[in-house]
Amino acid sequence: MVLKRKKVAFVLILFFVPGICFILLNLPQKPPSEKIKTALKSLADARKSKAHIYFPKLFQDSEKLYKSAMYHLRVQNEKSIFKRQFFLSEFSATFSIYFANKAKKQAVIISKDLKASVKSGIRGLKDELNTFDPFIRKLPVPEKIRKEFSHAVLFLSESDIAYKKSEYLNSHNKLDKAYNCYTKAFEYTDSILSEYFTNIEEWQRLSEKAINKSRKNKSYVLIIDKFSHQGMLYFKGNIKRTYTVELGRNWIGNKLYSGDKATPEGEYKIIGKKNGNSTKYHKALLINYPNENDHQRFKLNIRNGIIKKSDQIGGSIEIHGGGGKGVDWTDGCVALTNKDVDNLFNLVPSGTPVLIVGSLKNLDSYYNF
Amino acid sequence: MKKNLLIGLATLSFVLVLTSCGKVPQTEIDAATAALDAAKTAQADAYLPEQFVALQDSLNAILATIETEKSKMFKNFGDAPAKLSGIAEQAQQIAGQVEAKKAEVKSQADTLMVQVKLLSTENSKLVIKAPKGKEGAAALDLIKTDIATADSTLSEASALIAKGDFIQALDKAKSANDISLKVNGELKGAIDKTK
Repeated sequence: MVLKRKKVAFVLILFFVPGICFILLNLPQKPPSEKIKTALKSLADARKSKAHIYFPKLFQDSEKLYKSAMYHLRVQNEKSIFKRQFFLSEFSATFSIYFANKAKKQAVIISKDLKASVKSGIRGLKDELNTFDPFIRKLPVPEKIRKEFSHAVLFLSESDIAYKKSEYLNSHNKLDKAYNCYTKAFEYTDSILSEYFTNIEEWQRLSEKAINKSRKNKSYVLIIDKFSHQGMLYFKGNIKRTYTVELGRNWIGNKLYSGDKATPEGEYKIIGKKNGNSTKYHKALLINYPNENDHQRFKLNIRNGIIKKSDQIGGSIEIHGGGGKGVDWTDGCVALTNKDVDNLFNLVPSGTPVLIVGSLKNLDSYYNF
Repeated sequence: MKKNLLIGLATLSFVLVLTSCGKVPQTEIDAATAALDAAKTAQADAYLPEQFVALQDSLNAILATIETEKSKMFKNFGDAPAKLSGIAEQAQQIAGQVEAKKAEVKSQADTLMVQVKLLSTENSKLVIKAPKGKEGAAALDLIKTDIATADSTLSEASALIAKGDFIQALDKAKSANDISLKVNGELKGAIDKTK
């Protein structure tokens, strides 16, 4: 019996002790469950912070690493419990966490910055468009430029819609498009205006001269400011009346030739008064366009190739009624409402000086950006 | 001998209990994954993004738990099957809600597009009535550009509706509406001046 027990003990020692040693030496590794959970949470947090939108590459790398961690986990799970090694899975999960956290951190910063910059960008462009709107509506700009401006308004509206949906990157991209369109329209218009206003000092000088003459001669003088679309009637050097005027369709710039729909600029005088059947615009005051200066300029423009030899200088420029349409529509004349032309017609005699200038105020006083 | 047999039976029962706890809920995994895929195909990620992402996160978390549990000697998947069934059910619900949400967004876009169309028609009529003189029609070309921009934006919205992208279509319709309203105000203002 004792011998039998000894035999059993021997067998136990022979098999179980090495077995236990084997188990102890090859203890199955613990899977990186916490790391994987953390990686998953980090990815979810990063997505919540829109890292997938702001830092897609970093976010995708984190996702790939998470998938890699899961892949290695699955591969090891297919092996015998004693042969499983999880370091690759743990390694991938660790880096997935790192990238996800990095993407989240940067996304939070950029999202905040972008929100603020888009908000102020939208507000800024709205202001600029509002300031610029009267200019582009007033100036005879080409269709292409008008289209750019119209698209700027459209993209700004789209940017605003995206901003309200918290889609800041989308809003930023739309705002960029809006700025591009606006810049094209603005640069074109600004170049026309800058060129137009190069004569401002001369216009101001002529205006001062005309007012002084009115004061000295105790007479009337009519000054037409094309840019502000106003006509000021002075008497004895003081403003007596102000009229809103409508001009030729292409009023910006001086008149070059007959049919260019431009209103001439220069020192003129009333040479004829028409009413009744002699005019179709209620009442009209004919001015002496073209005067000597206009003839000289016309010849110079032909010589310089600015206009064709076959072009005509034109004439019959009047200050007439039929205005108040809210648009520039004449062939080059100055239109007033019938009521205003009645008033002017009754006040001014033939020979009254008429000064037509591009503007009396400089461009900066109109820009308010 | 009888005692050894009893010990053997007890050990076998214990092993059986352990292995019964450790069965991977593959059917539930497949069902939940398929339901979530179906919800994505139905565009739940676009129309109900928050609910969809929450479900996706829950499924990923359970799948991760299951995979790590599979690594253990004594597997215990606990309430994973029940959670997976819950996810499958919610995914189906979301897929159903997506259709309603899509219909709602489409209806909003359609309504707005009809409004913009009416506004555009009115604007085209107002352009005719707007102040004209010798060159009046040419002067109104500027306003016509805005009308054309609104119309082309409306066409883009219609194309998006046809493609089933109702969210983008609604946004486009809103922009077209903004421009059309602006033009309408301008034209009415210009006409009022002549009265």
